[in-house]
Amino acid sequence: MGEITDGFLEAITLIITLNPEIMEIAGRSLYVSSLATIAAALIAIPIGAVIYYYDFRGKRTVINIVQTLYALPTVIVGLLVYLLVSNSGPLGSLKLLYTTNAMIIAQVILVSPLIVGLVIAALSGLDKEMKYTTMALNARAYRAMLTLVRETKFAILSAVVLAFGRAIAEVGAVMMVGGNIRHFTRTLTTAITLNTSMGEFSTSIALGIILLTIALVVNFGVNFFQHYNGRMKDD
Amino acid sequence: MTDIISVSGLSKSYGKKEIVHPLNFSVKKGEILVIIGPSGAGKSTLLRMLDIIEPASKGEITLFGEKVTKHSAHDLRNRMGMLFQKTVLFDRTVEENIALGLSYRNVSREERQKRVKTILEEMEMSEYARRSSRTLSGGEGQRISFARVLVTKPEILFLDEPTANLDPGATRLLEEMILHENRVNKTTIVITTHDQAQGQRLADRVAVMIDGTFVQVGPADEVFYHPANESVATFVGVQNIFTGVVRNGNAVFGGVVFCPAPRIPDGIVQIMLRAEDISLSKREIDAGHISVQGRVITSERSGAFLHITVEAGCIFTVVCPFRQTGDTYVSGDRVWIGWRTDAVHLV
Amino acid sequence: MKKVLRVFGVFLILLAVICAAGCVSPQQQEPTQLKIATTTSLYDTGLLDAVQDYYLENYNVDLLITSQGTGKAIASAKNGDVDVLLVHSPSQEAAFIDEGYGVNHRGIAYNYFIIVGPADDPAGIAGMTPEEGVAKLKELGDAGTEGIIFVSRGDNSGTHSAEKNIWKSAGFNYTAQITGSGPWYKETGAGMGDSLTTSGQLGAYILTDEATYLTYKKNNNLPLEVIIDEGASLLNRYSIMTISPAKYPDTNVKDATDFTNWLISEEGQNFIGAYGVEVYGKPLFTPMSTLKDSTLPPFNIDCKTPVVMPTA
Repeated sequence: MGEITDGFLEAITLIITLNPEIMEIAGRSLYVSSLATIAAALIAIPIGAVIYYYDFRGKRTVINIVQTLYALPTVIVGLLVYLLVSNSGPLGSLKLLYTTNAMIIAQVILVSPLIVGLVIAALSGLDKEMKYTTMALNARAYRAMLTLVRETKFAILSAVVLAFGRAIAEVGAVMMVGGNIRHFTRTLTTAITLNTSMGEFSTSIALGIILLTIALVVNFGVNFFQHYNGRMKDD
Repeated sequence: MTDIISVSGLSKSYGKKEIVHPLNFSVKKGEILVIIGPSGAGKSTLLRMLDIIEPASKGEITLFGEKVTKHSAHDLRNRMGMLFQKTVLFDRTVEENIALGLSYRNVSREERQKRVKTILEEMEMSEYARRSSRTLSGGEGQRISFARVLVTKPEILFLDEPTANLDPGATRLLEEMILHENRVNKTTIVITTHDQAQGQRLADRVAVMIDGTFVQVGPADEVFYHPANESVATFVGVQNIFTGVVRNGNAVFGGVVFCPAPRIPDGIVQIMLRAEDISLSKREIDAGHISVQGRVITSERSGAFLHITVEAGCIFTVVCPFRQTGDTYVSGDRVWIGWRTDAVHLV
Repeated sequence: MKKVLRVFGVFLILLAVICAAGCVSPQQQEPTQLKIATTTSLYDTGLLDAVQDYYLENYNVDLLITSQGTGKAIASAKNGDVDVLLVHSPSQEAAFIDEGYGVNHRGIAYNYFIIVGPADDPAGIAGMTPEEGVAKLKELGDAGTEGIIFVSRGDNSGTHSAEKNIWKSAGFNYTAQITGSGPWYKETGAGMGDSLTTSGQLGAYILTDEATYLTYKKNNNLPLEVIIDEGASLLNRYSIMTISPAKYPDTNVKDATDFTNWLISEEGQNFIGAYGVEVYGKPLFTPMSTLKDSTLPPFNIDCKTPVVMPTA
């Protein structure tokens, strides 16, 4: 019990005094996961819209696969990206291994299926007539998709935030492709893993508190948006 | 007058199930064709195929004299518009909603604003321009949706049960707008409804669609008073339908002579008689009518009308205005019912 | 609605500022970078973090240190993903060099593995040689004696290799007789620190390097004591290798050579020898240069001759 409270107090101290190493790690986590989430959103939202919009053979199967990939294990993504960007891999010449860029790539792969799937789900929640209306108003396909995506902006924003949560909380992939290098690729989760195995529990707790705080702030943000949206609808 | 829409062998299947059986028909420029039929008859699917929103499984559609193909679809659709039963409003302001089709057509901003302003003025809804679409009532929403279609100046309008979710007042308003659009702009209109009265109010021509096929096409009165078969008759609200016989030049069922049938050979005949065309009285009914005596079985009020079933050789359903009957009818009363022989329709 | 989007925009900008602040660390005239793969048990002692700070300040070379299990560390070295390999597994090092991946092999430090266990030593193996000790544990374990547990890393790490060597010299066939032989033998598949914690929770015996043990003992009151700390098979030798430019011509051989020479220099050796004294009261590593002749068994490695930059 004492260990936990001591660790907690020390953790609070580390945070309040803005311990530079911890702030640096938190900043890097935010940087990597934000960029990865934005990149994933830019890739995944159009893909989701296209899958929703067009009727094609095997559509159901594609959606099933996408949904299965929600649970894509982070270490598998890590391994895949590692093999791709390793010096002896096909993209070895880009010298991406053990860089934040490699971590961003891994997280993009990790969270894109989640965004694709949730975008499809959000769009499928619209009345069928809404899609018909865009067609009847003679929108080109991309204009129609833009209109429909805009119509589901709150649901899609929630999806993106959920993806950010998965990105910033994952450890397996960034550990493998980032290498947890101090001052370069160490993030909140890899630092927690390291400090725990070094027995530095208080540092781990401090980092954990920061991670939880980020998750909380982000979730409050989403709830605020959803609440706002819901209130408008009730008016 | 030329055919603006012409369809041959048009059908639609989902999997193995054919929803719309092969259809052949045409619509003239400036005409209002009302397609009536029960839910699930394939009316909406047909309209979507005509507006090139849904691909046809088989057959051919010609619009404005041009065959519908992948290449011509976009240009053809530019000259048409469609409104749905379910009001579709995007989560934006009213004016943004109305301008949507224009912005898809890359109409300039000033032109868009001008045309939206004009149409809102015509509809006397100018004060709605900046309101969020979420604040509209059902009727207002459907009128704005209609404005969104009209502002693109369509030459053909497809209206899929546009008033099905509206109250009578809002229905009347929208119907006036539809007729106005047809008269002023000579817009060709194809509208579906399951409300036969609406069909009568709007139609130049009525097509009855049942189970994916046109059972009868013709002027409204013809469909209502001379239904082609029992299922059309049932749909257009003929309540007295008997399978009788023609014998000695008379149509007979249940011992009742309905009317003379001099030109019909002896044999089985469908006898149809609208409930509204039967008079009901406690006294014998004047000459010029077929008159039968019977006994009231049930009597029920429905709004301003009385629905009465009478046993007189067979069971008749009679509808009469409640206030005009003067008399009250209860089960067991002895009554006379009568009808003019030309009210009977034989198939 | 617009207001909400504006608030969201401000939030995004703030986020970006925080990110930027976090990522731009003060740097004087672009240090060069040297990539090092090492094992968790070495990295977890914190020695390399200290070396990293010191080396950047004095030589303007950034050491990018990634710590993995020995197997993964050697694999990334074989893939050419790093410039230098820093491990403690003589047999795997030898194979690595034989296959032509490594050059400039130098010993830098050593310490001893120790067998730690519950203070009351339920197996009564204190004072035995490592081989006698493990044999006794196996005997009691096979007999199902209450409270006899041995925890193994089970992850092909350097420590795990050392453990397998002890079983071998005690006369057992590891695969046939030890691994999976009963509930008394538990493999964690985890790093040294995690395995020690597990061992402490179970009240089990475990083979560990001394440095990690001391770190853990100090930081989290690990309830384990040193039971056996003498025996030739307990030697734990740390060495450095440069990835051969013949295999990967684009690695940073210059900094690799300089860093190797710094580690075996007097300055480097003193740095290693001094690490940990302040905190643990004794050094965590013994510099290799304190030996009279490190090329003799059981060390078998050069630690004095400066290396020259290899060429492809």
